[in-house]
Amino acid sequence: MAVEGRTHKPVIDRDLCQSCSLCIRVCPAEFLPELSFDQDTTRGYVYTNTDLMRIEILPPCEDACPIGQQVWEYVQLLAAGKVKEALLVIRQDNPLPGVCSYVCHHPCEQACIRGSWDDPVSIRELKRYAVHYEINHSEEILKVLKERKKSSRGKKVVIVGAGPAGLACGFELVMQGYKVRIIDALAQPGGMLVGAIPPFRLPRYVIDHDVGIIRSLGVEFITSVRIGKEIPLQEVRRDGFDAVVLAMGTWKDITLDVAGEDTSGCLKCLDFLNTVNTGHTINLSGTVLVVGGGNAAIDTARSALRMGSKQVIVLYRRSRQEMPASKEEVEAALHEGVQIRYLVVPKRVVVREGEVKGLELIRMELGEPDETGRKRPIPIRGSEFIEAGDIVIPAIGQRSEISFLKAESISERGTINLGKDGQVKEYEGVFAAGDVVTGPSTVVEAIASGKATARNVMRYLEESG
Amino acid sequence: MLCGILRKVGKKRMLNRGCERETKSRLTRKVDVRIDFERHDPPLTSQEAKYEACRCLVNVSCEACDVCRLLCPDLAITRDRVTGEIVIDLDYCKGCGICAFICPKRAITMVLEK
Repeated sequence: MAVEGRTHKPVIDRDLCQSCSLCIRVCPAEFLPELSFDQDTTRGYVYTNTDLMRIEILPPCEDACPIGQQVWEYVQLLAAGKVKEALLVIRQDNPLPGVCSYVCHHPCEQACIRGSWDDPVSIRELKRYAVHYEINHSEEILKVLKERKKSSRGKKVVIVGAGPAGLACGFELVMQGYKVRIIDALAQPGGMLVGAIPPFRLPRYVIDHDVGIIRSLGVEFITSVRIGKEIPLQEVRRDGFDAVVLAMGTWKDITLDVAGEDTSGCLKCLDFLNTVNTGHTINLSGTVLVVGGGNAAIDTARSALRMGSKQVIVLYRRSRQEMPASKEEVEAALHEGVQIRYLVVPKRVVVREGEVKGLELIRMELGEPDETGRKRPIPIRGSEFIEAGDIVIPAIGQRSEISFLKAESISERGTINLGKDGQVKEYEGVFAAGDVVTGPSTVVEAIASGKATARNVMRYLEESG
Repeated sequence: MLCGILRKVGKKRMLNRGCERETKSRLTRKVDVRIDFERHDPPLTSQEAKYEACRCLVNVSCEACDVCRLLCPDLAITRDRVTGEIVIDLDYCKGCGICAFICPKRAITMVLEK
C-alpha cells in the first residue's frame, strides 16, 4: 500500500534523531484523532493499517528496558522534585521497583546517550531514591494502586513459584481483577531474590516491601510447598483454578562433569548461597575456588569471603570482557580482595586422602565468536597446571527441575516448551514464565516474561468465557 | 554512531546555551570497604537525586526550541530579545493549548484560570 500523490517522503536519520518524539506527537493523524478513524482518506487508511508501536522510535533508555520503563519520564519528574508522580510512572510498568532498583543489570544506563558525553545518568540510583520514598510512604502508593486495580472478574489463577517472574505475573493479574494464589517451595516469597542474591546486594526489607505491596493488593501466598514429587500438578488446580502459571525458575546446579567432583570439599553453588542467605553460617577456611563467570559465581565468591575463607579465587574460561556478571559486581569483588583467573577451565579435582587439595586447570585461548557472539575458548594443549585450594564451588549455570512434566513439554535445553498462545505443550490452561522458559537470565528479564505471560493468561481466560 | 554525532551536536548546543546544569559530571561517592552482610551505600539524598536527574539530556525545562512560538495561532508567544527566553503574552493568548500539547519537553502546562 503506497500513498498516492505524494512528492516527498520523510526519512529518519537515526544518528541524528534524539527521540524527542515531537514528530510522533505532531503527526496530523495523531493531532486530529478523528482522522485516524477516517478510512476513506489515504492518510486515515495508512494510519489505521500501520503498526505504529513498531515504527515508533523510543528513547534509547526506554527501548533498552525489557519491561519498557518510561525512564525519561520519571527522571524528568525527579528533576522537578516530584517524587510521588515519578514513582507512579515507575509503578505503571514495574511490579517490583524495589528489587529492580537494587539488582537490575540496568540496560538503560548502557543505552543512555549521555554515556557518550561523560557518564550515563545513574538511572538505577534514581529509582532507588524513588523507592525509598515509597517504602516510607507505602500507604499512599497502595491507595493509588488500589484505585488502579480493576473490579473482580471472578476467575482464579494459581502461580507456582514466587520469584520475580511469578510475582510480576501475580501483580499484573491481580491488577486486572483476577484472584491469584502464589505457591512457593521456600519459607518466604522471593525465589532467587531471597535464595540466591546475597543481602549485601539486595537488603531483605526491600523484598519484603515489594512482596508486601503485592500481598496487600490481594494475592494469597502459600509457602513451603514444593510442586512436583510431593504434590502433583493436578492437585494444584483442585480448588477451582482456571489457569496455572509455572514459574519455578532454575534451581538445579549444572555440575562440572569432572573426576573427583563428589568429594565432600566440593559444594554446590545454589545450596551454598541459599544456606548463607537464610542466615546460617558455613565455616570456611583456607582457599575457596569458584568456577564460573556469572553473577552467581561473583555472589558465591563474595559470600565465601564473608564466611571466613582466607583467599577466594574465581576461575573463568573466557576473559574479563566476555564475563556475564555485571561490571560493578566484578569491581566490588576485586575491591574486596577476590582474585579472578581468566582463560582457565578445570580438568579434574585433585583429591588426596578424601580431601580436596585443588583443581587441575588447563589454559584457554579465544577463538572465533560462537552463536552467543562471545569468543569461543579453545584449550591450549599441554598447559595444565594445578591451582591449590580446599573448597571447590562450581557456579557454571543452573537448570530447571521439571521432570514431573511430560517429556514432550521439555526442550533439549531442559526448559519448558511453549505451544500456541504461550501454553505449555500437552497441557490445557497451563502457562509458564521466567527462567523455566528462557533458561537462567536476569531479574528484569524474568519480570518481563512474567508480565507477558500474564497477558497470555488474560487472553486465554477471556476467550474461554 | 549515535554517540559520535551526539558528542558533536550536543556539546555545541550545550556551549551555545551556556547551560551549566548539563555539563555536570556524575556523582562520585566514597566506596565503603566494610565486608559483611549489610549494604552500606545509602540511597541518594533529595539534592543528589535532583542533581543526577538534571543530567538527563531529555529534560523538562524549556530550552527555547521555538516550536511553541512558531505554532501559536495568536502570535502570543515571543522570545525575549535580551535573555532569549520564551515569554507568553497572556493578554493575547486564547487558551487553545496547542503550545502545551506540542512542547517536546512538556514544559508548558495548561492551568485552570481562577
